[in-house]
Amino acid sequence: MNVDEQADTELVRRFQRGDEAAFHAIVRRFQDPVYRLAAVWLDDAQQADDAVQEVFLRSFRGLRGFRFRSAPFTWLYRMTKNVCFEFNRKRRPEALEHEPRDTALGPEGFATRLDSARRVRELVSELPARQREVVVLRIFEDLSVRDTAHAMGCREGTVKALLHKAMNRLQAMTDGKQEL
Amino acid sequence: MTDEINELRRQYQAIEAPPHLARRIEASLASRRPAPRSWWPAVATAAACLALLVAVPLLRQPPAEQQAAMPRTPSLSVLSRVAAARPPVSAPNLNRLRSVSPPAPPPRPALRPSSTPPSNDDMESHRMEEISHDYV
Repeated sequence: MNVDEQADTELVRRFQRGDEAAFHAIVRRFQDPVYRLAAVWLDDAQQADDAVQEVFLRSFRGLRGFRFRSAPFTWLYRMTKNVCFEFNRKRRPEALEHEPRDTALGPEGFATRLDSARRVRELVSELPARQREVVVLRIFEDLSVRDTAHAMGCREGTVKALLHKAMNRLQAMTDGKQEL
Repeated sequence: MTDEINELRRQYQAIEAPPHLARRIEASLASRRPAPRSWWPAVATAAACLALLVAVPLLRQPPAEQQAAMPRTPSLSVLSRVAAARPPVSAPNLNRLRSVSPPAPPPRPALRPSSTPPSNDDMESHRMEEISHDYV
């Protein structure tokens, strides 16, 4: 267990003992990675905001029963993935046309945030779902092979094999774009 | 890892949650949380029920003097262990029973004195007479 994971575990333990300030610390600590995941899994920023809110609302209830069999982040990752799948399932096609814009950052901030997510999403969405997951967790989020396997619910060998295939494919995709 | 993938990773890690999101989550949590003293009625109800459970048997119990005056009824389990004393009855002597002679049967009714029983022919002729008498 690394230093970050120890700190995360300690925060969760404090929350389980009834310290609500610890939960706000968890929100502030994990809101960026959870938001990044949601931005890659979902299509628009507004939905990503809603999904992150839903993830933390469910975590508020769920973390009380957390048994520390995995790192808190891998638990949150699974929750985020489930919520994003639910959002994608519920999403109506016409919502894409009239999606409300997040104006809190101003037009430039919004565009930058959305563009980064969109560029990443465009490339990563070409990959099969499992390869996309492994790239996001292992390459983008810097999780260890063990934690990636925990988050994905598979063996470490599977993670390595999926990563190898995904990297080859990504490499081919980026080479192809450069040639074009 | 190639430069392109490194660039992709840098772009991914540059994505940040909007600054208002944490406040929005905290506000949403606060709105969903029940009022801090909402558990009081539940606790008060539970305490009242508990008090009733304890008090009702005590109220139904008679005072100590009355309880002392009342005859104590033995418990059924004690009663079941107590064997009932049998009266001292000697077993009947079988020899004596055999020596007792049964009472004499009542006298048989005497047969009425009659002549020879009527033959079938007599009975038939008697019947024919009756029939012929009816139709004449």
